[in-house]
Amino acid sequence: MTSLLAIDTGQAACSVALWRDGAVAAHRLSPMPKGHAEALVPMIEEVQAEAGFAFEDLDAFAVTVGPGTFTGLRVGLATARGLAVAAGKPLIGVTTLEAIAWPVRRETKEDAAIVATFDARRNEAYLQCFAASGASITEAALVSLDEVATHVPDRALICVGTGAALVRDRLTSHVHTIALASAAALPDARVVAEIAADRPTETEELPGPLYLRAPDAKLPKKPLTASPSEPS
Amino acid sequence: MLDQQGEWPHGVHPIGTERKTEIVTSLTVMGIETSCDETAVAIVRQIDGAGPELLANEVLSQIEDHAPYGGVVPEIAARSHLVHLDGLVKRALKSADLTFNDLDGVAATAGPGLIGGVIVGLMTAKAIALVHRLPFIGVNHLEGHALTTRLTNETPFPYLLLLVSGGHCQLLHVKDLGDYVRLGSTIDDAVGEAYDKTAKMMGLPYPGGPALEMIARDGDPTRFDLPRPLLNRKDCDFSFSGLKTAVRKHVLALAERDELGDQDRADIAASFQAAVADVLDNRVSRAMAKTKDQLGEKPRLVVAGGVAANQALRARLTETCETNGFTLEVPPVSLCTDNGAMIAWAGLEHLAAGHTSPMDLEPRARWPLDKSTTR
Repeated sequence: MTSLLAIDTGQAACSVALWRDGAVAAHRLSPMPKGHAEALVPMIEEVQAEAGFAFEDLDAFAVTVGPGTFTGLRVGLATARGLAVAAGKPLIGVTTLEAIAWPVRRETKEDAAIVATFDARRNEAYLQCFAASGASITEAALVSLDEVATHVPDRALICVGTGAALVRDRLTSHVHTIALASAAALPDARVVAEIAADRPTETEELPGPLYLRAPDAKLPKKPLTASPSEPS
Repeated sequence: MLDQQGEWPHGVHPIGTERKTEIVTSLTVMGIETSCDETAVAIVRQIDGAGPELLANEVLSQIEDHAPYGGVVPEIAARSHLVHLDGLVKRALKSADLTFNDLDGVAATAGPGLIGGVIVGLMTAKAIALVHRLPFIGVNHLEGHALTTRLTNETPFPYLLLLVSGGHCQLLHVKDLGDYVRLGSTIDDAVGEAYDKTAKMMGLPYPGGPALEMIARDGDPTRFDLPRPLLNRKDCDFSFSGLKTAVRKHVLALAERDELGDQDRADIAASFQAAVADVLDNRVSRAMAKTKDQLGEKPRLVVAGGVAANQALRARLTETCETNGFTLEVPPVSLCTDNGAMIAWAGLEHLAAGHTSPMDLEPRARWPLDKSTTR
């Protein structure tokens, strides 16, 4: 793909990158726990001013679909889907876990596996495993920290992401080495763009969110009174 | 409309040809509403010298998604808005037979409301505005309700507004675009909320308001002596929680004796509705007395919000208007409940006045109308 605009707001950072002719042409990244809804569009405008592109000349948009904060995912996906529909261009979804695992290939030995993981709170982690090549070995999942051992392969591991230390500390009986990656713990739109540039875009369907966690909603208790009789 | 430099004002451009010395100008605005459980997109156009036109009005209700929970679940609402909104944008353009290039601006609800949903609509609108280099207008949801009557009835400023819905209950003096004075509001439940909660106590299906109104038709409004909170207080505030509690006592007493039959439900509903009508009549009369001399020759009461669909309350407010020398104006029911047209219209009014919003506009869960214009 010749040119695409990638955005990420899935975790505690906000970033935008323009990919053109095999390289990043312009890029912005700010760490931020919140405020993505305010920061994102001005950031896109800055990247546009620096790289000098027109939306109609882009081949596609790319966005991280999750897992991440529900609010962050909605900021990124609503914006990306809006851009795609407005410009009439395809949208490519990349998971946040793919995005943090991809740069780790450079520091991973061939026989090791990459464990990309985010702290999901509530004693849980979002987790996905990749081969040293970057190809995924497992599906992205929400796992209990008490059970992480059953979700990683039986070989040397290199952990990346905000959950890396948490996960390593729970793998006390893992017989192979476990390293912490030096790569960034948060996604970056530059990486999202690089991954998306090699993805096919023929599909009409826009990518949706990968929440991995159900909404907090409880069904009501027994009603105060019974329902009225059905009208005869 | 040309200014001294011969430039067209921001967002206003000519269409058609010159007619003698007058040039016809037109504004076409898309509006997006996602602040509660309705995903909605509409397109409104106004051509100078003609009345406003509603070119598209797409509404997707989430009632079925929330019904099992007996109320709107914010996270479920936000998830639903995200996957449906872009499809509705396309549908609205298609039904209006327009493309993005025909738009002069994009408006979205920026609050108040359920923040997850507000974010979805706001970001989608910003993205469309960015791609097509259009003005973006962040609209206060309450202002959308307040101005709808100007789209449907071409009501002139100023007027008295009773805004009554599931989430809001307030009386406003609408002086001019962006100039609103709150005369009173509920100190606890909104009217629609009181209806829904009362209906739920009696086991009526969600959403309970319309169901309660339905059974009240066959009920005796004098059977249960229910309180009329805050009646005759000098301010224009409302309160409905005491009324709700009184209903609850009657419902429980009957249910305990296993005597809560359909006629009892109907009588409770009718008695409840009569109490609400008395409260609205009293509070609105108070607001009329306070504002009448500032509302011109033909003072108007506008009723907006989902509760305006209630026929019994509407009939009572018609009487209130007659007694006080006011004219009642109510938009069609489909535009009283949440919709995109009201947001498109409020956006259009602001755009015509030269107001737009910055691209870093923040979504707001709370946003009182009397401190608002577009930021």
